[in-house]
Amino acid sequence: MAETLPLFEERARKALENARLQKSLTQMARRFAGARLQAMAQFPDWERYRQLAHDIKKHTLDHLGDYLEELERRVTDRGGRVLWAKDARAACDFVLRIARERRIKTAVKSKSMTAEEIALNEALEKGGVEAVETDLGEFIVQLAGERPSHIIAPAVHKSREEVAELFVRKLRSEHYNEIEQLAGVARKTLRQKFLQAGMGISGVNFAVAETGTIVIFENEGNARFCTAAPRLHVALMGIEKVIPRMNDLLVFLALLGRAATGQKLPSYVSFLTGPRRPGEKDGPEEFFLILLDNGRSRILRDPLRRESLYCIRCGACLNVCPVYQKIGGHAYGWVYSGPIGAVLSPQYQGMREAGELPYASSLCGACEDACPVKIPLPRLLLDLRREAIETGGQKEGKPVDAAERRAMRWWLRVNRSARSYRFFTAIARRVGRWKATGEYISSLSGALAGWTKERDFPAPAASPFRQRWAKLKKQKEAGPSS
Amino acid sequence: MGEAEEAKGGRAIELKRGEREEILEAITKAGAVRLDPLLVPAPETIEPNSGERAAPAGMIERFVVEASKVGASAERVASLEQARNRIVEVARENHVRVVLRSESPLFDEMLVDASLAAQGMEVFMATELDPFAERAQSAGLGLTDADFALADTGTLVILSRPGHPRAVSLLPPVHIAVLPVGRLVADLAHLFAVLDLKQATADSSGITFITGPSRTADIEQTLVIGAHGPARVHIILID
Repeated sequence: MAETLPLFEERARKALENARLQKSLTQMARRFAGARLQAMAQFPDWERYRQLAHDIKKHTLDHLGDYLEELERRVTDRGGRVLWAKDARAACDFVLRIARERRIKTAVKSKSMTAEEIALNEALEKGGVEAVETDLGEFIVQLAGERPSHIIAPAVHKSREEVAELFVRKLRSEHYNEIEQLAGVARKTLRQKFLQAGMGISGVNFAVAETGTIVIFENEGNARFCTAAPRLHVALMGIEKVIPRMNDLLVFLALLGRAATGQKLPSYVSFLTGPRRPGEKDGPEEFFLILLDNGRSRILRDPLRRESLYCIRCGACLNVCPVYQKIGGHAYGWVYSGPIGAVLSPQYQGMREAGELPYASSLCGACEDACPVKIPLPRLLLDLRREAIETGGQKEGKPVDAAERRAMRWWLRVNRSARSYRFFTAIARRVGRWKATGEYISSLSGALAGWTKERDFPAPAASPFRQRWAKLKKQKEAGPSS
Repeated sequence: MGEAEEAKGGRAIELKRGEREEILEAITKAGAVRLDPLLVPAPETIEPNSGERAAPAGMIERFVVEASKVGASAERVASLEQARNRIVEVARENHVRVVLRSESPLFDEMLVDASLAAQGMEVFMATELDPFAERAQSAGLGLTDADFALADTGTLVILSRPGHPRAVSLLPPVHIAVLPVGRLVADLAHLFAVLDLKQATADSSGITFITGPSRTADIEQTLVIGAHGPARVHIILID
């Protein structure tokens, strides 16, 4: 299944040349980030809740085995079944076998990044089970044979004309121009699927260990259909999604909606606990919960990298990232995009596949500020860059060469002693001022050409700050007059 | 992947529990510590707020305002009779011909079925038919009561149980929910104090928090009200 993707630079360039995408990315960033800021302004406890969420996640991962076992016990007490999957293949096999044993032909799916991660749809199609995405954005992306480009808005890269044409081609609908009509076509098509399907598949936003409850956030109602109409519900979650107590939801429910879309609560939050009880007319007769590892226990080993497992998939870091805002989700090459994608993909897929991604950041820190669980994203990006270099991984498509290593070693030596630092900066200052025209240097040559290729470089000051500081200090000490 | 291929791959999965021990061992090896509640205090969290409630009058107004902010509508009525009249009016405004309703003593007391029938509407009880059956698809209105409502967010809280299936507030394009003002609480933290969630999740397979009508902004980031769930949510609070 390993498709060879073009290199990151190529994918990014393609995105930059796509004028429509550029427009919708700017619009989206403004909309989501604006809504988030407004929600935060109306929620004075924001900082306290972030810290609580961070600490609860830390505690849970420190004792992950216990909480997973407790979750398993509670789900089982309520009549559900818990299955443990080591990797993507094991998880897909579970779903496929459950479907086959019950001769299920059609499954309806609500949005799940984890299902994307394990390529569940492809596995089901191959096994002869039709898997229908039911979130409108995901439905569009699936019909088009593409991948989602944003955690919260999967089809943000598509225009209404493209959607209209897609519906005409794939659903034989009339050609509609209005977005409401297009949503109506999807509603009608999917309503039939909900009623036919033998199985509903969902993701999980939070799983509460003490009650065995899974919590799902949504605005459309498709997850409610997927988890109430079919006679079987399979929920898929990464092992990091467990939280200890019901009360912890008071923290996370307050953060997730606000961070994602600026909503205090989305249209629907469902607390689902096991299959339907005796006498209930809907809800699944059978409930399965799949706990997926797929590399998470490996990430858990490193105390810093472990923090990337705190992610609650709100998309806030995408919306504030200056790099994501220009290149969009597809350029990141895999299911997770933006700063969190640049952190997760190299860890899940390896440096060879995704070693370029930690460089797709200016390290401005906006992502960490926006993160509702305070993941130190810039530090993680730096740590991954370190690994990329140490393992000879990729840097912008090419390995670090010996000359660069030598140069960095030389730089380190020069800067370790104040004397040599002063000596070399004095030379650099003189050369710089000689090269400059006015306040800027507009072209350097040789190994330094890259510094002025796409921008002018500010000329060095006539006297360094060190000297000016000494002078200022003397003046100040001489007396306050002047 | 056929059975043969699975065998060739060398890792047919035991459906019983899967790779449980292997994963737990990997987690332990990764440094996760066995939890000893005596040594490790539980992390601080937000505790349910069992303190005083806001004044009921203020809370009702708050609820009505917040509900309208999320695209629902809410009103306060003085009696069961008024509530019934409003249900019939809203149903007529929306050209409803078939009503799907869940069980509640409130509806029995206000004799809503007779009033709806008098207007030529057909009423199905959710107990009578499989709510996801083809026949239920014709319903233009879902009529439920609500177990709680949250003033802070304009949210309805509905616990599924016999006579109270999830479909009634989901399938029809219009949802009317009725509740006595006494079921109104300030916010989630107050709800968590009033509702014993350990018991509630043991009894009910699905607790649904409904905040406004269903919505999507997945095409060109343009908001459309009415995605898969109802496009209109009307809430009637009875004094």
